[in-house]
Amino acid sequence: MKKRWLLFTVVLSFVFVMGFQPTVGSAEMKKIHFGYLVADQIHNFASMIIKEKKLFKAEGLEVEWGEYLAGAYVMQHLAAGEVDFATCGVIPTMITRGRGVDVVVIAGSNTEGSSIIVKESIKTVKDLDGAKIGTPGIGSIQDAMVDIVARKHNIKIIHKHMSVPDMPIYLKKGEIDGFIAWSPHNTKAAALGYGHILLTSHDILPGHQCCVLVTRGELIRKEPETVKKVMRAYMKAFQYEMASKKNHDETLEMVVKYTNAPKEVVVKAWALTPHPYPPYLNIESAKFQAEGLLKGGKIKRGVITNMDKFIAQLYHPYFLLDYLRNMK
Amino acid sequence: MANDKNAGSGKLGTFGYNALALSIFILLWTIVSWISESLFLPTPWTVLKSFLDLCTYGDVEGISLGMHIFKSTLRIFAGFVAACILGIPLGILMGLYPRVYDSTKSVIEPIRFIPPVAWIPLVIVLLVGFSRYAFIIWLGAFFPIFIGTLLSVRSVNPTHIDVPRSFGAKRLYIIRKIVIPSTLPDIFTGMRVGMGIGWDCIMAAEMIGGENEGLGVMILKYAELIRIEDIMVGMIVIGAIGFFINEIFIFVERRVFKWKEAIVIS
Repeated sequence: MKKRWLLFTVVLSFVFVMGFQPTVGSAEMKKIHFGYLVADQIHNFASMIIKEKKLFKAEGLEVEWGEYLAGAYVMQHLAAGEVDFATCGVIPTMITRGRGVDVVVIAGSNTEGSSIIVKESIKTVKDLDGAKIGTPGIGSIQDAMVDIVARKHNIKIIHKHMSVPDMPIYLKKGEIDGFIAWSPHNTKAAALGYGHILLTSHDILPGHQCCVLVTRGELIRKEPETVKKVMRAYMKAFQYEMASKKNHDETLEMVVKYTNAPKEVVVKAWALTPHPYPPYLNIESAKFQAEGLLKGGKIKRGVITNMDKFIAQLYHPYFLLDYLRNMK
Repeated sequence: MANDKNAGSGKLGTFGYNALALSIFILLWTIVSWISESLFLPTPWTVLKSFLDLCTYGDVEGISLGMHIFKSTLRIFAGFVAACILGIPLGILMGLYPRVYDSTKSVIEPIRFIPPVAWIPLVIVLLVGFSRYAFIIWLGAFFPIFIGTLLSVRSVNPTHIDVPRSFGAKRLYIIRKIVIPSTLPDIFTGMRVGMGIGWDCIMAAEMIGGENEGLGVMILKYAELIRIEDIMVGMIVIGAIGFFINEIFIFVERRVFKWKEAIVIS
């Protein structure tokens, strides 16, 4: 009996100790968890360049990468403290912030870059009335954009939530009339002849903020040096892509490798996805999108009483500005 | 008369203990959520309020809780009925003719070990709409029913078969009058387990996407909005329906198979 208890205590202690292991990889290397979305390298090319060029390692960071199906899933893991940094849509970030989770945007990533692809019989936006449109989920920026189209044109669009890689299959099988997704899934489906692009996110909401670089507020307070290092790697990735045509072409080749999309699809999709530099958050766009979330009930009424204050708490550009200042 | 009285007070006692257990559980939950003050552990009252809101106003897309319950129940029953229709006759057949099972187990047994979730990518490509959900539920419910029936047929007391056979009873008569009645309680137990697994599979099935109604879909929707209280409503409703259906099964089992005495250690 005593032996059993001893064994039980040893096993329990082992589990306990393992569960509370600090996230430090080694004495020199600080370990971080970084989340990104599946085949989202056109919107968030920086994380891909960081990975390929080992920019985190150069900053003394050991990274564990995590791939997620949609922004909402990254946010769940970030809220649980499993993910330290992530690139995903500003919409899931705001929804999460609206729930009281201390998630903070530290830089922008891209604007626009999504589009609605529909079956051939749908020719105009008005034809979308009553149509079933696949979206990556209720908490995604793309889902919010379908709401914007419906409101703008006073039509009813039926949302069908599904994972982005499945969308072309559903469209091909005629189970949905179209879908909205981030590049290159839409461009790829159009190239395969599954449908045609009816609206780009530029048509829906010109210059809208799409993806952002986020972290937990707790990390900013407790480990500002780590955040600084992540920002440095992030900005170096941007600068690498912009440095020359050769680097830009190399970036496109990386996207081809990561997304498994043909080069011409990637080139087309890239052209639809601006990456403003410096990557500030488009505050006006974020406010507009937050208003939409309130109207749609995705952020509960009463949570945002002062929009400026909400955005000020959400967006923390200090590290980005600090990097740009030191660069000069 | 005295026995009836005892049975009545026994039932009341069980009910009382269950009410007490539930109250303690709710009390502990309240205390833990108050102490933790975590965003991710709402109090029972917050969950109750969400339940009432979902009943009154529907979810974030205006779909009522009743519709979510209806859609999930419909999918489960479709898959479950299909599992019974195929699982019971196949179990009886393979139980009566073990060679059929032995010759096909290289196909049946590996399929049994493939979790329903693993089928999802294939199901998206091969099936359409409602059939996808029913198939995943069917996969979960089929094997407990099939295996339960198969093993039950094999374990029929040989004396019960030999006696009528020695009096010249035909094979079909033995199957109808001896084998099937003896296996019914086990088939019923298999069905009960199958129904439970069917409910387990509903989340996996409704993760497929493409539909906006269903308790699993509702849970996923609110997971995206990080609204734990609404997620918990979905979980509790699934648990409550499962419990209710299980109680119906037990009630029917007790009525129909009264002759099957349970061994009670007092």
